[in-house]
Amino acid sequence: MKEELDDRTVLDEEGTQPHGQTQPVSALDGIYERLPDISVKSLDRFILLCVIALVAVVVIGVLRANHII
Amino acid sequence: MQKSAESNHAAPFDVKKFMSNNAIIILIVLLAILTGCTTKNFFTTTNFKNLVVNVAPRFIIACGVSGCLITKGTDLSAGRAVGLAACLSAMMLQSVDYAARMFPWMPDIPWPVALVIVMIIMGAFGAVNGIVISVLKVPPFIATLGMQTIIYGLCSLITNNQPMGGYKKSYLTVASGSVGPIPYLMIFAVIVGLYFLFLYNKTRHGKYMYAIGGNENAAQVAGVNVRASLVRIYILAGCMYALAGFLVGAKAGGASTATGQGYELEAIAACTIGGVSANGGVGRVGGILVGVLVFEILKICLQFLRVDPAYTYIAQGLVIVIAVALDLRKYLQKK
Amino acid sequence: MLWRTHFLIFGTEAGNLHGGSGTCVQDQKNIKGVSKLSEYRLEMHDVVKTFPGVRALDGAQLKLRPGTVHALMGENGAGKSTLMKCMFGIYHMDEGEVIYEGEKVQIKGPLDALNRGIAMVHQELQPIPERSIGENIYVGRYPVKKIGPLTVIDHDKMYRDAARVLEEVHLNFEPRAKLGSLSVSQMQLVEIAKAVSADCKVLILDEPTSSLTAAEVEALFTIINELRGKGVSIVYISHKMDEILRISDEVTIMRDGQYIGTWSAKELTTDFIITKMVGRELSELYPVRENTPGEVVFEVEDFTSINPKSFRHASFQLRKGEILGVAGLVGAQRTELMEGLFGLRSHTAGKIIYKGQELKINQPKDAINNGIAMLTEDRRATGILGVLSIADNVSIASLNQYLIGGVMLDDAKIENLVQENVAKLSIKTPSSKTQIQSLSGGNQQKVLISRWLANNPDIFIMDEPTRGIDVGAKYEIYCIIAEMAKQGKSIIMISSEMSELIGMSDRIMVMCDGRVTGFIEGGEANQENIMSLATRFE
Repeated sequence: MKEELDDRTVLDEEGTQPHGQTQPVSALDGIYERLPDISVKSLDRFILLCVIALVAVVVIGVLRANHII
Repeated sequence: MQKSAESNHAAPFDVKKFMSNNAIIILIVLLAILTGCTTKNFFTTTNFKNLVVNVAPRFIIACGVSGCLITKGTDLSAGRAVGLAACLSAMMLQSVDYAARMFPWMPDIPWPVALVIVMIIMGAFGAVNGIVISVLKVPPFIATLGMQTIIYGLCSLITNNQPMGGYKKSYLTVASGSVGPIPYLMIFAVIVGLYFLFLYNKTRHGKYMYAIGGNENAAQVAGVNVRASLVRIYILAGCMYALAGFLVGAKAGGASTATGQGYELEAIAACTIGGVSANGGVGRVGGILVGVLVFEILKICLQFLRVDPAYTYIAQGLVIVIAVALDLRKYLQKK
Repeated sequence: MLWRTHFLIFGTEAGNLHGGSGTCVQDQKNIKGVSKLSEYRLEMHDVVKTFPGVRALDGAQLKLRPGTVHALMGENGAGKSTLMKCMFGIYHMDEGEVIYEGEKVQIKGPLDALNRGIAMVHQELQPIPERSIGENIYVGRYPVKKIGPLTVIDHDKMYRDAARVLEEVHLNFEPRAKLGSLSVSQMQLVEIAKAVSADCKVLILDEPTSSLTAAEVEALFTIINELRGKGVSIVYISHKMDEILRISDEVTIMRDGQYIGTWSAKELTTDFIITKMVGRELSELYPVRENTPGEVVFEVEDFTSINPKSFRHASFQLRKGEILGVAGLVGAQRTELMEGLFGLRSHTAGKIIYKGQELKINQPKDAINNGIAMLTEDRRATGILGVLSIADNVSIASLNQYLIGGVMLDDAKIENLVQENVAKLSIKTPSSKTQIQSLSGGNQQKVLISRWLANNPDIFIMDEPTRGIDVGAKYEIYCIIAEMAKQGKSIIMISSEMSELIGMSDRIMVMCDGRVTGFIEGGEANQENIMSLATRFE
């Protein structure tokens, strides 16, 4: 009577799908709701990081073009 | 007893919010100013024309894709479709006395006729996309990915992988000519922009599109014919790719199976920067234009600054990531 | 959450979970003891929770003593479920605190709550029908054993424990049987057994009797009494006045997210409770209706779903200017039947006859073209176009009426339509361009009603029209319904609120388990005869 453990569906009491949504329209539909809980704060930090990276890339590119680096 | 309804209008001007909503645009404007001050010939009419001529076809493609994105879909076949359109145009518009004419038997076709024919053909491909997505319920990502490779294959077949050139003068003039200071390409883009502005804001099709994107189930209950709307959206997208391919071919003076490769990524990214949300139901023509401009100005600035193109790629990638993150942030804030 | 529980099954933290018959982390012997600091086992103070456009909880509070049954009452939308979800950590409170056994705590989720000794039986069941009863009882906390290096689920122990638990609550189901083989009411009993099996100190029952027969309710009360004797604090959330007055010691009433008061059950009467819950005098709960039902305009014959477990052989008639209430337990398939009539679900047999002509309805557009409108049960999922403006939401179903030259939309006409409805239905919104999702539930519902009224339907199906709406807006919607009926429209109103059905319907149709079991004239309807038809299982 040994059952596979991998196909066990564990009951998630909260339910990750939003209330009432029956079938997703596309694979990407509602993707924002299915992402893990990210706080706005950590997202802000990530965005800031990317902006800094962007500026850095441009600066480095310019400096290299002028043979400074 | 009445629970207050929070309105979306913030009374005082919130600097932080303005910055975060428009971060990318601010950065690019700064970059442009910087480039203009440190290099020659940046703020010239030639450069401006250069910008316009590059923006025009990309704007047209982005408009086409926007409908798919607004309804929570996507169209990964856009780039290859542009390529096929360019090749089809080439086949019909090569100069009659060109030695290496691909189809010597092809009659001399006026370019407007060729354009219409190409639009019909690419519109048909779009219809297939639309039907597969709305009737067969295949996820748009997969459906259009498949279409992408099919179109590429077809293009290879009909062109026999031979690049084509030797266009007739009237076709080349479409891309190089202008009315006074205004390039023909810009006129095409303006017409497309106005058409989409009208379609999205003043027609039933536009309202149904936003409704489907906002909440497809609710739109269905409200009596919207979801299938018909989706098919129309993808057909229109196909027609736009046709127009863009036609123009791209004229501009380049040639076309091959490599034409258009990867254009969809930039188009989708431009839409995202311009406010078309991955969550659906939102997107404006003005925003799409801004998104395309951001990409092109970034490219031109870095060119002027003689930066190695590799850095430009990385920079573009970062811009895309920031755009998506900002979109996600807007969504999370509403929760 | 899903991944964490998987992890736990594979043995890393298994020791901390219930290994079987509820060894709560705390000592068994303390279950009756009270903390020296307070006479309450659990307290919630000054809880505030807001969602966009809505202050769901506004200074709510709750104080539970050990060994008592504490009823939590309030209309739909009063905030009872929200408060419980805050306690459980499912929602994050904006303000307020939870004090458990004298200490301030922050509960991180249902499993954390269970570990601390707080269990809940939800109103909306989430059973796994393909799995056995035992597995459903121990889901998320299966007993484990080690075979060599592997940690696997100990099925024998699970079924032994499950059998004992079922016995404790006087149910004689076979633990290895599939959960799906039980009826809805039996599944609810298993759900209750599951919470009881955790053998914990605070038990929250959210509408536990909504699907139970009278005999099963008695069984439940026996269990509750036993638990009370053992010192468990029980929170009993329900609408059912007589049950509350029978079983509870204390009653807390909430209204519009606010704490109204706590009283000893002995001092209370039904009328007093209703007045406090609703905030207005009993006589003013429902508007005076001036509609006069006329001849039959709409008939449904033998309507049967393609799903054999759903509605079957449903037949009824609807008169002009009539309000037909539709009553039934959860799972009676009322919504499904109406969705079938509207073209959202497929049927395999049956006829719809409207003004003498048979209608073929395969999709909502067909129904709409024939003058039928439907306000769905879950406006967030299938009603509002959240990111769109109010103007768009109001006009979406009737755009053909506002065309210039057959193509262009007349914004001015649409704006007029919106303003008319804002005035007529008292919709509170800053402007017609506001996003509908930032409006309160009541105003959203009114926008949806405007949407349908723009088509001038003759038949208006409304599925739980006042669910999740504050008391003031409810009354306004009742007035709108009454006015529509007076103008000669026929209304079909599905509702789970007994008082609403009795107060608003000219006639009530009752369904049970997919079949129409009977009709009751409005004047003769009462809780008993409605319930008796609603529980007439085959």
